[in-house]
Amino acid sequence: MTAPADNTSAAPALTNAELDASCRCPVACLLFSAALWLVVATVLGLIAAWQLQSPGFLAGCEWLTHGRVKPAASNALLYGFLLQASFGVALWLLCRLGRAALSGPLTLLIASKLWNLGVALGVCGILLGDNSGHPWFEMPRYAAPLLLVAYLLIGVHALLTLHARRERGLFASQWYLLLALVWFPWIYSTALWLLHVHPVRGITQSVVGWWFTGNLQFLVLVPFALACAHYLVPKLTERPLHSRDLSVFGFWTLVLLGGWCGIPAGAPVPAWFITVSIAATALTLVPALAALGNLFMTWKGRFGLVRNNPVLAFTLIGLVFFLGWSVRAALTGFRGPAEGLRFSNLGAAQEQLLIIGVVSSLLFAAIYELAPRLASHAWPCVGLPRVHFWGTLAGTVLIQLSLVVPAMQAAKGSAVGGVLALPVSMATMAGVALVAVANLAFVAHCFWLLGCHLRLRKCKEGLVALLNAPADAEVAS
Amino acid sequence: MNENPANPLPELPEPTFGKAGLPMWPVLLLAALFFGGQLYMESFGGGFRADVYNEILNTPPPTGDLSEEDRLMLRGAEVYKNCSACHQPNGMGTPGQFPPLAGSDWALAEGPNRMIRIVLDGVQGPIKVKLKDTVTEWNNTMVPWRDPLTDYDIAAVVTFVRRNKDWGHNASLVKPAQVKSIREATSAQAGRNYTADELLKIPEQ
Amino acid sequence: MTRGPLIFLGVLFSLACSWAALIFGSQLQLGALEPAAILNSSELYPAPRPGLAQQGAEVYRANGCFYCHSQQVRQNGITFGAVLTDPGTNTALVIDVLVNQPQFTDLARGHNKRVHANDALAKLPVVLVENTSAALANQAMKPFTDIEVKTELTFKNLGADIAAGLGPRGSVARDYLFDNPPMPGSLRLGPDLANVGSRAPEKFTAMWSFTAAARTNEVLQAAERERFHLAHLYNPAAGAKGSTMPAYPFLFEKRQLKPGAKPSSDALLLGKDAPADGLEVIPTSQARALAAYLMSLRHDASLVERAVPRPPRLPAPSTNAAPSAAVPKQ
Repeated sequence: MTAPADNTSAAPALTNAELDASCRCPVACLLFSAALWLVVATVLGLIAAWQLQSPGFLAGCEWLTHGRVKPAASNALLYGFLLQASFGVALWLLCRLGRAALSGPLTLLIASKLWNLGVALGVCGILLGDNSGHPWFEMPRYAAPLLLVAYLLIGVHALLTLHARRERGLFASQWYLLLALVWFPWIYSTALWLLHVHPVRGITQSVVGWWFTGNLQFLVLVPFALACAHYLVPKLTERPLHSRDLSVFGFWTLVLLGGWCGIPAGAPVPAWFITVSIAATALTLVPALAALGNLFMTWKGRFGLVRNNPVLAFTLIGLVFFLGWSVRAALTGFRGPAEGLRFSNLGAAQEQLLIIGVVSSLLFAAIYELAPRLASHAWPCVGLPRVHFWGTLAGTVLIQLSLVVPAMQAAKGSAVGGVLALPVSMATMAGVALVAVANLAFVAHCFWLLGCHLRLRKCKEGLVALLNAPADAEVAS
Repeated sequence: MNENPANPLPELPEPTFGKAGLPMWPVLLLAALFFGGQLYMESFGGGFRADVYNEILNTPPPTGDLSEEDRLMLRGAEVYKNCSACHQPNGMGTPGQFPPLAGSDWALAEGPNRMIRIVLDGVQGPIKVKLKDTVTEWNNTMVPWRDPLTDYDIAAVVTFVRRNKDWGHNASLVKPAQVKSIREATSAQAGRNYTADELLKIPEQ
Repeated sequence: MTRGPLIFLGVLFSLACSWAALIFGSQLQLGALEPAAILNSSELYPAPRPGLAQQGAEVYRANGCFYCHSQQVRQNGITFGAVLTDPGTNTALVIDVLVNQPQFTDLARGHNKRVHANDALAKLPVVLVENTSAALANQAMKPFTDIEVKTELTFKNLGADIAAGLGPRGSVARDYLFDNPPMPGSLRLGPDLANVGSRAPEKFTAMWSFTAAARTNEVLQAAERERFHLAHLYNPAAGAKGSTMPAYPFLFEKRQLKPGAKPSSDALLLGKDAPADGLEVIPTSQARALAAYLMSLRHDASLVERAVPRPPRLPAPSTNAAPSAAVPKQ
């Protein structure tokens, strides 16, 4: 923490290099942990998908039965990769946009380790059978304190960095980051309290679970993704963000509406819960279209920049998938379509689209932008981002088509509701494999970049630089 | 501020806001969807009740398993709509004109004999109504309901008045057979209202 | 939008609103639910699960069965009807009213409506209206109630799940009262399990049937259900070809039979899928618990929130009238 926080005149402004130096270690630690969890999640996901093809695979082993591998994979992906990468990108964005050095880098390193420990404990707990029973919240209660403490450290330092900003005006990305950073601990601790500590009675547990999932999707993951998009698009197209008022509008409508989504049609709860959720989900089209419209107007005419630029390429597919996800969520939420589609593979397809198509893509875009800055070295390989991009795009499209088309045909057919969801086909397996290859290529590339950085500047020097960071920043080189 | 000579990677400036204003289409879309959403919640909200699972209803659906008393009370509530013009939906009557039913000694008598006769053939002239502690005098005409209402309807509305929980009543049930026997026994009275004195001569049970 | 605290407060306010409505509201409305009396009975529903079934719920949760199986029946509406159940003694009066019903007024000229009405009365219950709203059904019943003829309101639960035989009514919050946690599920790769405890064997996705002895003996039926569930858990593919359900052999033990000894009574009867000679498959307590849990799953009690149709109450058959006490519901 350097110069006085509230007046911009006293200390000299920090350069990009200094800002990057201040957040290098913690952000890199978060991102590399996330990358490792991505590998774990990819492997577990491949096992789970293969078990749907060939149910006998690993069925004899109690810890690797499908019902345990599947939640382990999804929790590793969500908590281990997505949220951790989001935190890393968020910290970097807050530094850069506020032009303030990152607060508490050493504490953040500890927080990252604690988070990893918590997720590891949680995933192992799931494999051992301590599944909590609530989708997207399966980790057992003993993992939760670690995650909460880790998050508190991360959240507090993020807020301190925001508070210490030199650039007083807040850009759109910072609004979305503030939203996600405030919302996550609240919904997580509420779910923790009402589902683990003092479990509420009967189906109200499921209501809490659905509320948690809906809020996690609309008000934590989507804002992290939109924060990345709102930063990358204007910056890399070298244009100002089209309209400030439109971004304010999009932000506040998301805040007002996103928290009410989540309760599915047909749920065994009084009718008004479902009606409110359906109406809110349909209304979330407004913030989605507002944000997308704004970004489109910013980007219009410069779409050609996507060629040879993995950052913009991932941003583009992330935003296109976001449009598809929002529209599909709004339309299939109604009771009519839900009658045939609720228990089909469409739900899984929606989740996949959000996690892999939208949030992961936009986080990858942000990582492709920020990692070279932290490493002070460009990405070493041109081919691997291409593999990553095309693998993700082709894999996601294949997964979506192979899950959705049969589901819609079955829904139009005869006895809807009683019909079993069609088993996952080989096409879906192929899509999953493509995404897995793409992710592994990305992780390999990250480690390659790490190697380049370490060669460029020995690790010991880096650690010394970190511990002396306050002193260094004062003395502008 | 953007380029550090020591940093070999070129970098673009950080993003800023543009000058365009708020276009109308998102606002109009929000307004339209909001309006639609409100209509949707009114029609399909199940009255925001905890026991309504069917979105188009506002109360739990009838199950056909009603006791005789429940059926009489339900029909009585419907028939009472005819009475509420004068006696008011809350049974308090219109001061100076029509006597209250809630708490009235006529409604809460041991038996429904007098009430059934009042409903069948109406009443006119001075009549004293005793509520819990007070006695009030009324002088008006009540129309007869012998022709418009069936035995079941009269039994239902008298049961409704005698057992209305909202008014704190818990008097006895009235069955259609009782109404039928009184209707036949008093066929001579048809077309002529009772007076209070005549009614008081009739035993309550 | 330059003030961080303002954004923070706005976000917090909106979060508090959705929390209040969905979390707090659900707690207010559903948090104090207690078992309620089943309609037309004094039994309370639901009853807490017996210990073994409760342990089975833990096994169900630990092994993630809810990722492929749902446990909720959805209902999509209800239609009403009215039937005449007891014409009483004054048949002529009843026929006078009955001939005004649509099914008789629409009869072509030349048909004697009174004769048709008389014939209809011979076979109780007489359907007055069906598949309409409650208000119209009540209206149809009114003229009969006025002449003191017994009528009944009937109803039918609608919905694709109900039509597919997953249950007689949609699931309600009270069904999950003693589930901790409730696991309504979100995917039906396998069949819905809400009523698997009372489902007829022929209606299972992996069809099977009771033995002849069990068809009339409920104790034997329970034993056979348990046997089915255990065999299905051991090897789902044996009962349902092409099933994507994984096998759960770790819930069972393979025990060496002493030479010449008879298999123990617990052993699974696996027929041609049995393991090699000398080995028998015994379910562990976890498998038994899971089977007990599955057998306890029923969402079919008739409640005020959602009732299950029952046959109309007809008068006791006399020697004159044509008895039709077992007429199935419309």
